[in-house]
Amino acid sequence: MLKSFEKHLNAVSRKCCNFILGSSIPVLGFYCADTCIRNAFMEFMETRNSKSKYVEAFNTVQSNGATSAISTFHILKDEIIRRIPLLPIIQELRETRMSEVSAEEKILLWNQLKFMSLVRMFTTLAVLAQCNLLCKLALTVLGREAFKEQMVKEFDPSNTLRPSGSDEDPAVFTGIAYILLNNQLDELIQQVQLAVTLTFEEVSPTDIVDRKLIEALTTRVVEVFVNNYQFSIDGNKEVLLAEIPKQYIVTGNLLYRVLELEDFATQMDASIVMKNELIALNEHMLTYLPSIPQEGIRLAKILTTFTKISENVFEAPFQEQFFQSLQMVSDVNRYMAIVFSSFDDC
Amino acid sequence: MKPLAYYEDQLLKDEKSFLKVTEIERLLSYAAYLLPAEFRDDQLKSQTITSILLLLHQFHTGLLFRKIAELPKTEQAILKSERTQYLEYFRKKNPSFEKVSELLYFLNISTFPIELVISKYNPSRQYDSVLFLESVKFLLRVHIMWTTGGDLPLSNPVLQRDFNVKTFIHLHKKYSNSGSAVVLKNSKKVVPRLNTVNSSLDFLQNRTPRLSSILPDEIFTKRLPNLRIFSNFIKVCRPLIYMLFMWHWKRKQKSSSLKVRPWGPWIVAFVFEVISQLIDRRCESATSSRQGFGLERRTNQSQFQHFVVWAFTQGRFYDEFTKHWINRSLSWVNSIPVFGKYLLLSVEERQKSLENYISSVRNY
Repeated sequence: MLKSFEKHLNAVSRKCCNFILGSSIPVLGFYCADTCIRNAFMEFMETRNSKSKYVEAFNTVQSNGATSAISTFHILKDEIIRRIPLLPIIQELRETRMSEVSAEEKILLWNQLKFMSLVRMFTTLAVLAQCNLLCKLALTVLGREAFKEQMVKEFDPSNTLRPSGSDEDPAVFTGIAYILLNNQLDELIQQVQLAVTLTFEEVSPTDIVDRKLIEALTTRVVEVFVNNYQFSIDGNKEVLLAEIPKQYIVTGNLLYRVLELEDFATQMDASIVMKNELIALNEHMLTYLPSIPQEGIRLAKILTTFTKISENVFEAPFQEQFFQSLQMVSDVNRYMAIVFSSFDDC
Repeated sequence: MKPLAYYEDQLLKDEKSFLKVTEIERLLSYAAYLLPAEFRDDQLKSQTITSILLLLHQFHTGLLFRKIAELPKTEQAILKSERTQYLEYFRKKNPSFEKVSELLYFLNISTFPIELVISKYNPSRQYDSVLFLESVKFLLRVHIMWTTGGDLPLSNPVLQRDFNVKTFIHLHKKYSNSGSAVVLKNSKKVVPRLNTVNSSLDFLQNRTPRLSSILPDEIFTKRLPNLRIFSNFIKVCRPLIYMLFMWHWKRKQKSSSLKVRPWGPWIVAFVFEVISQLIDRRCESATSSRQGFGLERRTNQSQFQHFVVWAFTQGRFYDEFTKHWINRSLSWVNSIPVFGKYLLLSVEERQKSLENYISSVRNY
């Protein structure tokens, strides 16, 4: 009886052991499959989150850059008006109607008005383009460090691995762009004057022009300006480093950031971006022209329109519309993407 | 040396070097199937061929990473994985890390062929040689732990081809042209030209930086808690302890003529693994600051998977226990109503290859 029970118990035990051993293969298989799937899903989610955060950070920087560009351009308004005065010439022209002045003097005054009006118009466009480029460049370089800081904070909440030089104030870089533009304004005006002279030299204010001719002339001004355009910071570096601490509280390695900004601002691709920005602004500016009949109108009326545009561009709605046209230029985003992805530690 | 240098230059000639080395390795693998049946049936010859192919694969991997080093640093970060950055950091920090890692990899590959040779010509010293090799590997792993500040050594602590092939070829083709990249004047960084970027969104998504490439290198040297280091040390000790027990049993077997393998060494190894896993669970909250790195998590998981496989097959010692386990598993599979018989037939056909596969499973 006892032997029979023991034999039965051994048989049951043997069956249990066989079942456990046999079940181990599917259990191991399910375990490995589950582990692999979990790991793959986790890695996929991490990659997806990283990409979305990266693109979101880039878009935020571009939006902030546009806002800063508008502010910087508005500050430069007084400088442009002061260096390219139109009001004295207009007053003299009004006075010629009351007094007896020779025809030659009138023609001379109209030519001066033509010249200054066009110079002011295209100088404004050039400052718009350069302001947009510089501000976005500066904030993109800074935003790259901010993105790094964000990732470090997420990884290490105690901030023991905080990278150095990542706490610059964005206003400092906006100030850098303002000072650079302010110092470069005279040179910029000279380049615009040269382009306008070469293009509009043979056109008289009394000539009859049509829309195609206006478009051709303005496009040529842009092309001549871009070909002669050169932006450099070498001569202004000392001035910049001297003026920045007077107006802003500087932290971090300012010189390194200025050098990096110079790297990207003076690259040949920046000229391509500048050219495309000017072309876009020119096309947008031409939309404000009045409807021209087929037989054409006098250039003097067009100059009047240019004068109004150059004054209205500093106002809020027109200013935003001009900057909105710059957002459509894909080269700007592509160039900023290259800047944003050039990490220092890589 | 000159033929080897010529061979390297030919492989690294253009941007399609990866395809070249891949084709060479594939051709050699296919050539192994054309060998006579003697080479396939003989375990020693087949394992030797496998080891040679693995060494050749690693040699080609080194050449490819030398090719990657020619790219700008900003582009290398895209190709290199976290694992690669981890290894390269410690290689740069300590020159002996690279040599020790390569030696450990070589021993892992060649241990089984060496054991087969010794068991064939001098069977009495088989366990002596295995114990010696395990001791050397243990010392190498301890050195790696010392170098990395207590990290568990990777199961294969050498560079691997864990990068995207298309990206590799595309980047080399891109930067082989002089007009597709610009060297910045002040910072000396190499950035791509504007005409090489089609869309800013695609460009940014392809160049999303990894956490390990953004964080400073000091993150790799952050010291683990003491309990964690102790747990890793237990994992490293487990193979050596097991082989010591087996060696002792072999010596005892000579005197007392015992032929049944004892369960003691297996139980000791299992206890070691359980203790280390419990310590890891306890230290999980303490190492939360390193949870962002997937490398550590994957290393521990792969180590545990290797242990599970080893626990059921006991490494290279294909004996009655393993046969019994496989037979029980097959009978369990046979009980499946519809597909059981087909699965059983397919497994039985591969019985011999399964035995060779289990024999080649690593002991770590």
